[in-house]
Amino acid sequence: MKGYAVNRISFLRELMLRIDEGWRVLRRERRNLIISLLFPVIAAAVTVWIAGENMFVNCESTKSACFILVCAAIWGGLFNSIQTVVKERKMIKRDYVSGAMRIGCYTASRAFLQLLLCAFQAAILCMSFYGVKWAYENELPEMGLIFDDAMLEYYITVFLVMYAADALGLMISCFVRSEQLASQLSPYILIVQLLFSGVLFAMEGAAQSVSALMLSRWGMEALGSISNLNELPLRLQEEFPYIPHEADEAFAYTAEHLWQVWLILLVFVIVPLVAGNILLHGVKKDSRG
Amino acid sequence: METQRFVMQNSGASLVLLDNDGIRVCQLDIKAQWSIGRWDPIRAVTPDISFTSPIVSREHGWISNVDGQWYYVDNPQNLNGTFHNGYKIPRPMAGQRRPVPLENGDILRIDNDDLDHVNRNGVLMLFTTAQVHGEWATCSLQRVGSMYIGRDASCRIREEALYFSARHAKIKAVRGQYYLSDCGSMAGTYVNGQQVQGTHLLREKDCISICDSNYFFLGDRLLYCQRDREMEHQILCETTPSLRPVVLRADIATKRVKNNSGSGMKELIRDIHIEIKEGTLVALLGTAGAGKSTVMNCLNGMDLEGVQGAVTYRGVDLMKHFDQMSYLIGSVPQEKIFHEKFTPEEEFELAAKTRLPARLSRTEIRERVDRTIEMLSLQGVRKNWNCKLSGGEKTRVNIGIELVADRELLCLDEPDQGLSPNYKLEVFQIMQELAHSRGKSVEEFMEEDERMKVAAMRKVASSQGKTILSIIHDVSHIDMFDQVIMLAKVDGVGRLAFSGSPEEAREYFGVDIKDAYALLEREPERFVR
Repeated sequence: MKGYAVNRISFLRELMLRIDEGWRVLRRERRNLIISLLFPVIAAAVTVWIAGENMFVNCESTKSACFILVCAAIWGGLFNSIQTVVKERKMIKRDYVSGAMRIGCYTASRAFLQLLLCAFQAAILCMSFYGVKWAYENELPEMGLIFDDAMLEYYITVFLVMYAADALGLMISCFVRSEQLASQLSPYILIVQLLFSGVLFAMEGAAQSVSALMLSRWGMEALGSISNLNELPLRLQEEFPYIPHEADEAFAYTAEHLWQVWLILLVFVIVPLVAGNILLHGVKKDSRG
Repeated sequence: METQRFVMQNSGASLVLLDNDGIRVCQLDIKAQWSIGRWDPIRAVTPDISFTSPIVSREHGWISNVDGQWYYVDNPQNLNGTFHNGYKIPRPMAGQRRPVPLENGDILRIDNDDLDHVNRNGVLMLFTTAQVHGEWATCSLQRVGSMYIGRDASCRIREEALYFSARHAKIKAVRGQYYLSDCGSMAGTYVNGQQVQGTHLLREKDCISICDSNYFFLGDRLLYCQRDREMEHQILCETTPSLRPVVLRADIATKRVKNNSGSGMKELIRDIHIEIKEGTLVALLGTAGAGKSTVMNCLNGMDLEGVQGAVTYRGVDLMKHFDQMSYLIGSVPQEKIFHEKFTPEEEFELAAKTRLPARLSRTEIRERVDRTIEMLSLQGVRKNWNCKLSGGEKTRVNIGIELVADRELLCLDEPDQGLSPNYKLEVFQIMQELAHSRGKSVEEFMEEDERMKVAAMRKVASSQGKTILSIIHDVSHIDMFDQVIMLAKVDGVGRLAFSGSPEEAREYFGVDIKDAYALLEREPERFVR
């Protein structure tokens, strides 16, 4: 094709156009953007306030703080994206049917913008660790399992959990046909994530298998490992030091375990994005234009 | 309006005959039955469609039209039988005849039993319903490394229609086999209705389609119609709207969808038979719930689920091949679909960048956007956010998104809704100009250096009027429209009450069109055809 410009705009060019379009929409929906950015600030503040005093001091408080962070990351990620596609569904149908849109470009552009948003929100959420240090002068873990900086590992984990939840929200947004339905579904997803996280209830038998499909479980495992929960004293041990602290292999303090959990979280990012992209092709069958 | 008999029907059906004597075209519409066979000088038997090939029997078969549907009937006594789309038509029981319904693009062949080793006296007949002007020709692929189909002068098959990209599709020969690929075109390339992604190995009888242009692969050559666009344009310009060729045809027996409870089916429309001619402005009217939007979404191909019947645009079945034609069809829905926090200028710019060929420069896109803004009288609010616009301005932004893309068929769902009377008139005038003036804007598609070379082609290409179909409510400017289609609700089902010019509508209803609504509400059965 040398010397001849092809007529349909290239995938990359369309992707850039869609990113620009999405960025303008995101930037101009100021109220939504402010809520999205305030949410992690509030979540970080709540973490410091409720569970910060004994964070990194005893196992239970650290676990609770990690759980609040995981819940906040899932909640934030899901709410970032669950309305993103569905509110533009009619526009997508019109453009896709008339050949003015590649669904792949559209989903990739929205996934990219959500990635940027999640990266920023995760950074704010991770400020809670510094908040704990500032408010209670607790010692933060310095060395990580993989990197020299544990904070970097916390950030990567919170980001992956948040982005995986965001990807799940995008997938739902690609699938449902009304904004109302999307909003109705989100609390159910959150409840299921909380119930099967393995923190509130012990997971046994079939529940164990279901819990393997939950972001919350893998998020907890990663944060628990980085925090070295198995080595932190139990609250009871402060009074009865002879009580043993049985190690939980879910929080194994090894680099291999953390890598494994990160890879699983990456799968939780990729699968919904691919599925969402496939599902959105069904927009063509929407009955009204 | 029940199924019309043969004599009433102008289906544009023809049979393209290819044998050792060359290519001939037989227009089928002039009679209902045609005999096919070998010309026998001794017995002085001359079939209607005659061949000299010895493998064709004297009475080989018949082509018949029954109630508007064409069939091929194979004679059980013929010697070599007939292939239909590559499959040998099974021999019927003695005394029986098994008619094979024919569809646009079907290929009949009389040849050896093994089509991989064809007989040099083999005969091929292509059934087509495409109403085009031009000559059928073949393009040999032998001793050609690779060849292109497109608008560019270097293409072996050069086409003039604007929906063709400069180099649209490529056929490459590799060790005796031919591979087709799309050159990143806007309209896409299709083989047997499937879009070509990557490369496609061509097999004999494959039908390559680019919008409404077809190329039939015959093993080592392509059979196609060299369309005479100049003649098509001349016909369009010289004829009144009523005499122009039909481009959009709907024969919908019924459309059923699931009812609200999801337990049963609900019939939305019934017996909708509509013909829309090229370059005309058509108003779709009807009483409340008569199925105007349903009919519109069938005609523009957006929602054909549950339809029994056929909807064709330029002879191409939209129920099967909508994707192939989607580049030519623009749809403006009733809802205001745009970004609330974009300005009209940004909205049109995005629409132009995603809908128009990539080769357009920034300046050309800017000019296109400026002209669309001007046409829609949005100059004063071009920098305002869409959510801050008035209802009428929002409607115009909605129209502009498709207007900027220069579609051939534009379907608008209530563009007059929420507009003040003067804006309504303005929008109707814009629509009328788009339909009747000869598309001055399309020159932009031509590259500077191409302009000189293809001056004649440009003259033709730039003069195509748009076909515009619009649902409207206000009929005070109905005389601006060439055709009026009126729907009525009978027993909860949308039915066709009238189709014709505004004058004919007045005559048919015996009252002015605005009063016809009341008549249709009161006694719809009287007018339903």
